[in-house]
Amino acid sequence: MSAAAGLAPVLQNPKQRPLRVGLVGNPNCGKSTLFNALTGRRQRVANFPGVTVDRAEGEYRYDGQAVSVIDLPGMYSISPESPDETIAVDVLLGSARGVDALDVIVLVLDAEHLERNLYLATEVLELGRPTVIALNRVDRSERAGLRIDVVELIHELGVVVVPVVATRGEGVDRLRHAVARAGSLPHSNLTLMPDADGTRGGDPESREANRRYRWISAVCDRTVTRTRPHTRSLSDRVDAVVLHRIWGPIIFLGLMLLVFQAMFSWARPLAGGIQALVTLAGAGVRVAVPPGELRNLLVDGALAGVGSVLVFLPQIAILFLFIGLLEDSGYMARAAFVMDRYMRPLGLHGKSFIPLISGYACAVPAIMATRTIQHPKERLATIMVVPLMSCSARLPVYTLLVAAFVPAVAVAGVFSLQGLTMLGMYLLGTVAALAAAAVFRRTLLRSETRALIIELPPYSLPSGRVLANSVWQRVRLFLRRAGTVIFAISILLWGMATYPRATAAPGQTITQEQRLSQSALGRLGHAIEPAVRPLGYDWKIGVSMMASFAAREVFVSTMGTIYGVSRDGTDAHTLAQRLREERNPATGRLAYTPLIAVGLMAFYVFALMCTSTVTMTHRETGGGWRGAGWALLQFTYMLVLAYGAGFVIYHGGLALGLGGA
Amino acid sequence: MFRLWKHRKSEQPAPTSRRACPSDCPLAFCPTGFCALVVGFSCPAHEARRLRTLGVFEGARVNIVDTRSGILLDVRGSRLALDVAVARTITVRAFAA
Repeated sequence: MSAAAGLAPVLQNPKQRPLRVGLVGNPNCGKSTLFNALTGRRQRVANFPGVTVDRAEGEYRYDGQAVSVIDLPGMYSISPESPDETIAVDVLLGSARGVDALDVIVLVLDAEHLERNLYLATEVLELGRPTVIALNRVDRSERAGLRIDVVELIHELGVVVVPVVATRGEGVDRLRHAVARAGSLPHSNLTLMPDADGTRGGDPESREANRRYRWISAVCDRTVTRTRPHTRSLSDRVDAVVLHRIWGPIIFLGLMLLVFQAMFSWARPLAGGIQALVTLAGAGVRVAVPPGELRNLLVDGALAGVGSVLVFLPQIAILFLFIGLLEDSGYMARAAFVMDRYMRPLGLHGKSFIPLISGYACAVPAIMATRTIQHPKERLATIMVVPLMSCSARLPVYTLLVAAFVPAVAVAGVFSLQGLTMLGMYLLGTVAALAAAAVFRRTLLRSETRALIIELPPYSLPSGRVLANSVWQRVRLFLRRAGTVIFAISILLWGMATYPRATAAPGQTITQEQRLSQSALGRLGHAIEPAVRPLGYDWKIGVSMMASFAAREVFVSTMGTIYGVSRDGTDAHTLAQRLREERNPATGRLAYTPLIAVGLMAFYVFALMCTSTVTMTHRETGGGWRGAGWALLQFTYMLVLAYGAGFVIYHGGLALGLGGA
Repeated sequence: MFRLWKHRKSEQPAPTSRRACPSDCPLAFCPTGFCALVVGFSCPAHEARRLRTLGVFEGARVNIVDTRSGILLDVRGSRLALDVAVARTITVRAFAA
């Protein structure tokens, strides 16, 4: 094929519009890292197959030409097997709705696993489109004792091959240059004819695979030299322990325990620092702003609401640091493999495990991560149970209640009771998710469980930059939410908790509690109190729960605002202290007890109080009425579970004499 | 721990001489440290297709790295994990390492 034939118009007249470039390759070959290096974006990267499940776009300019780069999910072949691969193949073949055809394909090959990666390369090169090969991780292949003759590889493949190390940005400028010149360079005319190998009979797919691998093997013989013999790698030695049928799950549980322990013990001084800053800001406002409604709004509304959520920032950062460490080290795929045999009897397989673990961070990307699951019913079952995994938005609720009602005592001399309680909440959610999956797979979503076939990436030392980026992205999202949704709700709730103002009868005084009770928020709370009273909750918890349907953290900010409004100006107690000491004005007894706190935590373990998750479930289960049906079912069954758990814990506790309000 | 140590010892030597199994057998029956030649698949077509794209095709040589939790294979330098059910559907001709 001549160089000019079949080119997209932009390659013949490059000033017309941005050059559209697609990054294509096997899963976990470094496409997103290369995308970030090319465009300066901060697309999420990690060391396991299936990190990118949707296309992402970015731009750069080279030699006056705007270049639009699309990062695509990984694929092993142009015959897609899962929803994420379908997205990539549709864009590659120009059949994706609303996406222009690609002008240049950048085929990313992992130099360390060149032979396997060349399978997809043969299929892409046979398309006869302008293609540039980015030979990524050449540093790792050299360390592994593989020397690749790039000139010979160019000769064999018939397209430009640019060695790159995307993590360090090496070779990226040369790649930009090659992409810009892709139109004027010859592009592949590779065709592996059916009769090329002379094989007769048998399965046509088998013959085709044989033909391709025979050609690949010949290419590798001519281009790859092993400079030292293959030895047992460090990854294999680590795997001998991590993949052990007994030690493997124990190591996983130990890691989880470490995460929850760290969230409490490491975050405490940092959270104390943020609390001090919030208190200082409140004092500053009191000095700067004269007494009046504006000062009350700023101190009791905005600062009390937003500040009560902000103190949990260190815990969220630590959670994401640990999740990032697990993902970037290559452990996540191993955990999926180890847990496969425990999930199979429940109707799920190992691939569902990665979205479930991602659910500890946030259910929204976790639901998207189910796109790597091939079978629709297995995928749907995973989507339906992912929100039961305790996400980071529940963390402020658990932390507040644990700090208020669980004593900070050591257990077995090593673990703190508070850390173990947190772990218990996470385990409760995990067990509930697995049990719910088993029910779905035996009723509405019955089918045979598919086989687990998963590639395990080599272990790698997590990159500080990648980890910092991952933590920063989540911290930024949390801060943005605190500064927008939580701020707005705090202001609204302050208004509702302040107005209409109750007036005292002549000769009588009115307490802060009475004022709050007669406000719009108080009246609303009393109206919904009958619905939450069977769970042992008062109207303040009821209102906070209702507000947290927007986002779970709002529970804490609402409680912060309610207690900000109801406190005396001199009260410097933290929200946890206020909850611990709160008394029922009618009975004079403690309003909240450890039993109520445990019931409330269990409620939050099960309840789906997140509009973003409901929206994502609707979208990922097909949209329209069908998606709405699944989203409604998910919301309803989780609410029933939550209410039932809260009810059983409260009344069971009372029956056992554990005390209530 | 002793089993772990024993397992590691069994993987130490590099394959120098090979001894063929008397007949073809499922991959799931091969012990750790064996090298095997893939002969055929009896799994559903989509699973066979996926295996082929990952380098497990008729005529491919794979090394069995671990068999304790499913099957871990060395396929052209990559590590591929399979559950036992799918490993039972892959017929191989095994060689002792």
